[in-house]
Amino acid sequence: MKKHIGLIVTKPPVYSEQFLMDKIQGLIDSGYTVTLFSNAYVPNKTPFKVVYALSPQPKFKVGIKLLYYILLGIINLNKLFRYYNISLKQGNSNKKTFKYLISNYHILISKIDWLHFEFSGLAYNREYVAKAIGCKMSLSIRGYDIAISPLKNDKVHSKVWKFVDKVHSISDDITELAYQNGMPNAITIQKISPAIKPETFPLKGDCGTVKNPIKLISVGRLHWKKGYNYILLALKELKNQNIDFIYSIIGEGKAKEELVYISNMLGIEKQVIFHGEVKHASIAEHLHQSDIFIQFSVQEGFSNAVLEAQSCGLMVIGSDAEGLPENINNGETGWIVGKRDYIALSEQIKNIAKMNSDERKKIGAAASERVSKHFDLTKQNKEFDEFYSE
Amino acid sequence: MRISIFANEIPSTVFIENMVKGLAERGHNIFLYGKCIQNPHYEDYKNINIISEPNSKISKVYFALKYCFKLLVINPKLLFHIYKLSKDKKKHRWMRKFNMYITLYHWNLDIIHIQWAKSISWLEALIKDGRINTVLSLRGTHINVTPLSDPKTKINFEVLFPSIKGFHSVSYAMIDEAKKYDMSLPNRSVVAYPAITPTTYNLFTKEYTKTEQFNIISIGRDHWIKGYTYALDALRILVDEGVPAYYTIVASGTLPDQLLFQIEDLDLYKYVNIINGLPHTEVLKAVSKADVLLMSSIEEGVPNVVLEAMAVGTPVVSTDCRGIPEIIDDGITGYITQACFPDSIASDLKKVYIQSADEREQMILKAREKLTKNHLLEIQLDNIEKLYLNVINNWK
Repeated sequence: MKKHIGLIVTKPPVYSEQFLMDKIQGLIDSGYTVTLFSNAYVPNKTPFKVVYALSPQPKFKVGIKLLYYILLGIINLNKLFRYYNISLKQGNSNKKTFKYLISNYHILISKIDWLHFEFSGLAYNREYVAKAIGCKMSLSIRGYDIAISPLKNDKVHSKVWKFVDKVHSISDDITELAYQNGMPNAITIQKISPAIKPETFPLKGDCGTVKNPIKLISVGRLHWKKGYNYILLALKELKNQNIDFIYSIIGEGKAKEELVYISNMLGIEKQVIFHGEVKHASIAEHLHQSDIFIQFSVQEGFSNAVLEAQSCGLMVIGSDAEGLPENINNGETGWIVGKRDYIALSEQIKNIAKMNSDERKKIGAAASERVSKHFDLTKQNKEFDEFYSE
Repeated sequence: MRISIFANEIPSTVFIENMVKGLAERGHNIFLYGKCIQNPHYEDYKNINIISEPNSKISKVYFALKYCFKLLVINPKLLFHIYKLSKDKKKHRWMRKFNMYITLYHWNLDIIHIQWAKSISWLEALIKDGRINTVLSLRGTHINVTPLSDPKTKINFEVLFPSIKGFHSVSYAMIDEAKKYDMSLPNRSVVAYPAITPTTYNLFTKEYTKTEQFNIISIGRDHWIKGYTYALDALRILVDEGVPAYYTIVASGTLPDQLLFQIEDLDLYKYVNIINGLPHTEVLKAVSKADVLLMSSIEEGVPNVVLEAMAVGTPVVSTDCRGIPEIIDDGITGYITQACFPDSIASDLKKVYIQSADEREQMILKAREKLTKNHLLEIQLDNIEKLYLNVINNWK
């Protein structure tokens, strides 16, 4: 009988978080039972079993659930007591202990063998839950949670490490960051690179061609860390040199207002197309119509979008942020340019356009092959199976 | 005149507060309705009347009932009219609008001066009704940026601008921009440049001692529009070129991840100081002590902080956003640099760094001269009064 894994997520994953959907499906396929725990309420959006905390649910549901929860609480009274004791022993006040006992109640009353936090930041204020339940605890470090969140609150990780049994990192650079943030050497860390289904992103037929105007594309939510603003500056450089291009951005997000405004200000608004959110299934189509894929993040754990673009055989340019140089083999499967260096980016785009198409085809084919060899989902599923099987 | 300055919050920004007090000093009766966030200190002004917007559900109902009874006695017809006007499909919007309208109507106003273009959706029915003359201020972001990515706002502007009876614009460039929504808008507009108070103007002292450090300062809440990202990139360039630069940002609120990360990532800890909010008088002191004020915004109407720096005698490097060329003559009263481009910002900051004492003095002198022509509070108030009179005379 395989283990029952409890996954702590920010909110139940929807199609834009494909990597999480894939991981969960993979675990289920390997025979695990998976339950998601979420503090944000998103009804009926996800195919997996989700247990919500009490507070974010609609009132009529809470009424019914409350009785059920209380009953389970009585059965699991020992776990609740254990949580209470551990928390007090760690020097927390009664009030604080009680507060987090309530907010983690839905996890404490569950029967699970392994508690996994999908982002390390989620473990903050839930650090004793696994110990109280008496199960293993592990967490994933993915980028933002280890590179940026600690700048605001450096206690996030230091409080968590001593309760962690195992860590999943998505790239060597991210592992390095975890050590910098005080992760003890004693913790087992396993790198499992993100992966995709290469068959859904097949090599495009005209791999190696660069059209006129050059078709550029980026896929990812519109967030400052993705560095879209610097891409726009690079495009302005191209425009100044009378190089014709069309740039498609697929994704939605908070930075949209800024990006729309900047492209208007730079006078490239007719060449920059905001497609908004696109179903994961039709991303390959967009990629196949494009020549060059750009991922110019200032911070990036690994980026599945870059894998997808390489799998399709696009010419891929990435910045040198954390996981990207590991994702792209500079000069072989794509190119790495210093982050924020928009002049260098514009030069790289020009250089690719100048290369002969055979050379480009070689790179596209190499990229596609490398992805299916090293970043295939079946490989990832096996690795996760190993991760939880000990 | 009976004027309502409509700005959502009481007290509002420094420049709106200056206008409120200035108009009150000129004998107008000022009426304010909005959320009271702190004591606005109007003790010396007997002709400023405030009604604070109710917050909780109960207080909203109580508020509505109170004014209903009042109006039922005085003018039941008007009450019915307001009830119809404020009708809205969403109950909470209806409640808020009803309270807003009933307050504004019972004041018997000559003018409602709406400060922020975004809030016109709340006053939609009142603007169309036309019983009270409405005037709208055209300021920065609300006109230039929001409509680009928010089609709803754009439609709102197109529908409502023709019914607004007068426009106060902070620059000629802004009128040009707003013309998109209503072709005849320029005929109903008056430019009243943002202005500084005599107290600020008199803060100027000629004393200036150059220190080892090159102190750069920026002021303003953190928002993408302020362009701090590019300012930090520019700082990295300056430091790399060996300029002993030190950058102070006075922002209010907590610092966002973006800037924290960038400072860490570019290894700028030693060269950046971020101050979380200062009272206005302290801000002015800090600006006057700095070697240069950097206005790095991507978009801005006519930022007050630029005027204030010019008043207290600190050279300004400002991006080329819309209203700026109307205040700064590049190289004479300050430097104009290209928004978003770190290299450009760095090279213009460097121009101030290598300025001789004489050149610096000349620039400050010219900048102060420019202010006395267009940007003193009295001039601004004259123009605003002129606008109100135009509106009242044209729509009698």
